[in-house]
Amino acid sequence: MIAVTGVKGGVGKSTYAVLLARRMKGKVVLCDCDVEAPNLHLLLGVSLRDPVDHMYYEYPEIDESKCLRCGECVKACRKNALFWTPGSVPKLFKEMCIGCGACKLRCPYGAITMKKEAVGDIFVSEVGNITLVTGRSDPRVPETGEMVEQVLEYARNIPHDVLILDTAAGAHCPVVSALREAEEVRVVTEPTPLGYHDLRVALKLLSKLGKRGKVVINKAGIGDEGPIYRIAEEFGAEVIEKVPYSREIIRKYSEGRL
Amino acid sequence: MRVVVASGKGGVGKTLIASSIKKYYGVIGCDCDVDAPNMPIYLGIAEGEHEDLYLTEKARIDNSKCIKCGLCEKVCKFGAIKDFKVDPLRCEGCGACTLVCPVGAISMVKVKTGSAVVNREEKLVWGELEPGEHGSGLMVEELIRRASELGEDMVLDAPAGIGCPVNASIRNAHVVVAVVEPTPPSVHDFLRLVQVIDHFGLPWHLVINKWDLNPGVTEEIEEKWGDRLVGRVPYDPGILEALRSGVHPLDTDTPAAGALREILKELQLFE
Repeated sequence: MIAVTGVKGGVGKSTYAVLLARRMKGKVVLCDCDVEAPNLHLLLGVSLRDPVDHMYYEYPEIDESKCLRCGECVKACRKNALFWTPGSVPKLFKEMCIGCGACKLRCPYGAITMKKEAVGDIFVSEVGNITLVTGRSDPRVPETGEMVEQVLEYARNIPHDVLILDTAAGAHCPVVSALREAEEVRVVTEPTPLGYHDLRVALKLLSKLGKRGKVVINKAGIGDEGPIYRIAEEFGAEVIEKVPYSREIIRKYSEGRL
Repeated sequence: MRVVVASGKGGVGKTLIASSIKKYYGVIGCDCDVDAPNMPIYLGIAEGEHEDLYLTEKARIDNSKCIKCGLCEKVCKFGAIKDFKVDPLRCEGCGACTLVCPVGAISMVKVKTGSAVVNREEKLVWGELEPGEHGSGLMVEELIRRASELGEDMVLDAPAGIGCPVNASIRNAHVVVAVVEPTPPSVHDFLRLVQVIDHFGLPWHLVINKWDLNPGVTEEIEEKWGDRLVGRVPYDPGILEALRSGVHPLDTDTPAAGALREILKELQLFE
């Protein structure tokens, strides 16, 4: 399992993931873990139709006939997702709820059950020897870390010789979810001041996860690569590949036919 | 008034636009990308007052009290407890484990979520999330609170994506400047961003960056969203050149700088 990450957006994570998948032999499963902004299908020229499955979250549902309006569930919720005025049935603010079930555990009257709800779609497309698995969140649901785990689980269960994950930009929950299980992590960067800064963040995150990244320099030739080598060395990471800057790649990318 | 710059996809030019708005209007800048704060780099500002933020909690098991019953592990929905130990990167701080522990061995402790950096002179606020930590949305709320202490008018630079920290940025703004480039991924993610903006019911403007990468797609965007459009910026290697020599692109005489100045005039923000 190889994960492609990079913290900075637009650095070339998806482009590199596609190029990597294309040159692998055998059965390749490519998993788009950027559920907020999935793009791999656009680079491979396929459209997302007919989801094969969904991603689910659990939300509490309060049975009004059993609820004695004591407010205990509200006190148990550390995410402030339940709102209550004395004498009323608590009201749920879904966008704050992480589905932990603390309210259900606390309710003395068994009035709360956890109900599954679809919060996004999973799509599967076949492109040559590549099976693309894409997760796409419902834009109204901001918390996406758990969704990434679900789409990844789906991808892992498809028989494969190689599994390649493309992560979202950034270094918080949804990215951590994708990186945790990866055997190898390739960090894509670019030789610009922004690239240097964000490479450091990515390598810091990896060392926190107990992993050592391999660095890929994308858009090689547009700037000084010295700082990249210095930062990589600092974290004991190796620069393994350079993808030259190419107007041709950019043009093809902009036309959706990488 | 607060303006937020967002795009869905990363690397399309949010920080270029946001830092230009900050310079042109002389307003407060608040970088809401706590994973990769790039606004200070664009503006050549490295220093500020650092303050650690403790906004999140995690479970801690007291080994001397734990009777190894395993109830906590069973009840944790995030798989954060294994062999009576808490994995801090998985723990969401919900406290469900504390509710089932029969001997009160689990307590919730505040942890460092990240730090806020404030430069009062330059009117710039940014944050640095501890890599992999939860609470990026809470960090954004906290940064905006600090920026508000410096004054009312500000520009927020949202992170990539449409998740928690982007929500927190948009929720706290009054108007959105959306940035798109004429590539299928950027257009796709921009359409998803529009759904989030509409969810909060905010007015928004559109800037097309690197418009000449694919003039055909640019035309399609303009046809569909023409009434939102405030201008387009050409693809210009001069931006990177400026960045490398520590000059803001707006202070150069590159084609992109000229286009940016037109857009900033057209936007008529903070009036």
